[in-house]
Amino acid sequence: MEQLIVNALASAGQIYLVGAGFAIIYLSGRFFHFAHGAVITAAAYAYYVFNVTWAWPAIISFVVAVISASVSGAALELLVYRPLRNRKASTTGLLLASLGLYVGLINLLALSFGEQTLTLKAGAVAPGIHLINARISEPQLFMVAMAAVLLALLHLIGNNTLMGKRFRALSESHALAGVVGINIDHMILGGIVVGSAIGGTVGILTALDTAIRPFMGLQPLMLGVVAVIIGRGQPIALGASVLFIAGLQVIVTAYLGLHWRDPVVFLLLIAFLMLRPYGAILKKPS
Amino acid sequence: MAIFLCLAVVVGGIFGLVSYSAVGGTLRVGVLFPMTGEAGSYGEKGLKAVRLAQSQLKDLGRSVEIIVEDSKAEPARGVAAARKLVNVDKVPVIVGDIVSAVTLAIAPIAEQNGVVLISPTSSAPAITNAGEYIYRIWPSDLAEGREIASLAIKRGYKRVVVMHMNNDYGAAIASIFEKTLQSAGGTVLSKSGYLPSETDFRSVLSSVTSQRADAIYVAGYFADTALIVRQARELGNKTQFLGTTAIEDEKFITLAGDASEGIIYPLATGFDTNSSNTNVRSFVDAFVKRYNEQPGWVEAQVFDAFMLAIDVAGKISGSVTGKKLKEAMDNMDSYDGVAGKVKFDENGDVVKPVIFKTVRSGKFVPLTP
Repeated sequence: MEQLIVNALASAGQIYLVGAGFAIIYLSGRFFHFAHGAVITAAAYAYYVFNVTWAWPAIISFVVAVISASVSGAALELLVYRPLRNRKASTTGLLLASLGLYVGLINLLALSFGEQTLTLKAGAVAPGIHLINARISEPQLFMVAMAAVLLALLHLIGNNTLMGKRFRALSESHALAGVVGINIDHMILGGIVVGSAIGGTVGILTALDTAIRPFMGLQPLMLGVVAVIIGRGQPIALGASVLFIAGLQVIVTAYLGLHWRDPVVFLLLIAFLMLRPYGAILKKPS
Repeated sequence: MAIFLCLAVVVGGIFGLVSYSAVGGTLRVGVLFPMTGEAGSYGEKGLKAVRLAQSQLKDLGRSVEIIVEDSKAEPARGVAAARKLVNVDKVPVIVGDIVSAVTLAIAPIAEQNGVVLISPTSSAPAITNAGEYIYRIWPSDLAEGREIASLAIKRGYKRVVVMHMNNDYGAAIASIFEKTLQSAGGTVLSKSGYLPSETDFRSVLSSVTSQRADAIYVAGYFADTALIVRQARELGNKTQFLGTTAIEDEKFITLAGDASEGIIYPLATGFDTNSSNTNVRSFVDAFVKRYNEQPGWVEAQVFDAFMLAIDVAGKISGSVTGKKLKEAMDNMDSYDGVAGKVKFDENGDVVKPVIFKTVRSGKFVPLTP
């Protein structure tokens, strides 16, 4: 039982970080950045190249890989999204572009590294850290701690700073935010740089925890998006919905089996959208 | 011109049905492997074995004509290539494919045209009933599921948790494992499938710990099995693991680290590079001499499939036809190959003794009881 709670908590930490990164980009840019999943995965491969292939020290590999995630996020914004926005592309257009980017980038990674499973761990198996009669791995613990810190930080920044106000203004309406003098392009670029750094960190931690595969980013991304939709993109509500999803995952897996996990979670999302057709981030048009 | 070609193919096909005259005593053998694409490396290995066999036969004064086609490991390509081998080249026998999906796709063509198909490595259970002309020298996956279940009972693992990859391979052997274990008095405590993309198995493994299982049987490939055993050990779970033949890959040990130690799995191919058997030694030595590298199980299986076809064809008087070859295959007793003795059952499936192996000090070694 304790182990199940710890598993749920660890899974919640991972989904929260993915969801928060995604939400920051969503709230500033007002579009679904699915290529975020590719950025998460690319950071894991970057870490593998730095740490395993080039044998750089872990901490340096980590920092450089996170920076590369931010740089790739910024590159996507500058080379694809911003030009599209300048040509008055709709949010659907941006969504399609981000899906295309996701598929293209993941296949590029699969081509370069093969579809095989890569590992950052070799040799001796270290049993996880003891936590209330259960075990948790170091990367998992790190993700949970980081999620908790990020939750507090986002909550404080969102409510108490000018930056937070600007972000909230942006998430309401780009046109109005522009009128009051907010530089929309800068804010979106900033959002994608920060969001990609968070995403990259999760990618690397997940790789350290389990393994690297080309499609590793999709599952946490989908769950993160579900959490963002249910949780209104608010830091604390996001945390609550992430805990709910992770708890549901663990219960379904323990009592029905692993193969029921995704169908149940995603059916729930559909049920939620039926009840609240405007989702939770999107305000009902008044 | 195009019409003439079509006509030639059609007429050729009809004549092909009637008789395959071995031109001037030269036997024609079709070889269908994935030479390019994802499984291209298997095809390359296999072709090396075929070329070695051909040159050895030439030294013995027997000339064999080999027609190689590329299936790319894609069923549709395989079908086109098999049609060409059957209708244009009029071969009485095809050695191939390495990949089960292609073997299954081309089986009806071989069956309808009376051409013997010998697959060196295809393991899909469906091949058992693929046709009268279809043979293989690699056992069906079902055999390994049965064998490992019997071993589990023999070693006293009566309460077993089953985790399987949710595809044809994993689901089929997991269910035969369950049936065999239960009929021998064992219990399957739980059975859960996972997608090939899954990397985190801790939620399942956590509930396994409380079930007090004697063993966990993982019916999957090497990468997922490696993640499962590693994550179980990380959770502090020390249950005995049972695996499939597919885990015998160096990458399994790399991925699982020392969590791979002690896992037990069955292996049906009898090929052992270090064997002192004279057949095996002369094959390995000749291979190393020609290619400057050690042969693996693909090379050995292909060598056996090819040489078996030649051996059986050699016992036929007059011209070699697919029908005569099939009769000779059905009536043969057994064939001593480099990858063990080959004996066919009534379905054209090979009956090979299964050995059990384990991992000790980072090496795949035979299990000592």
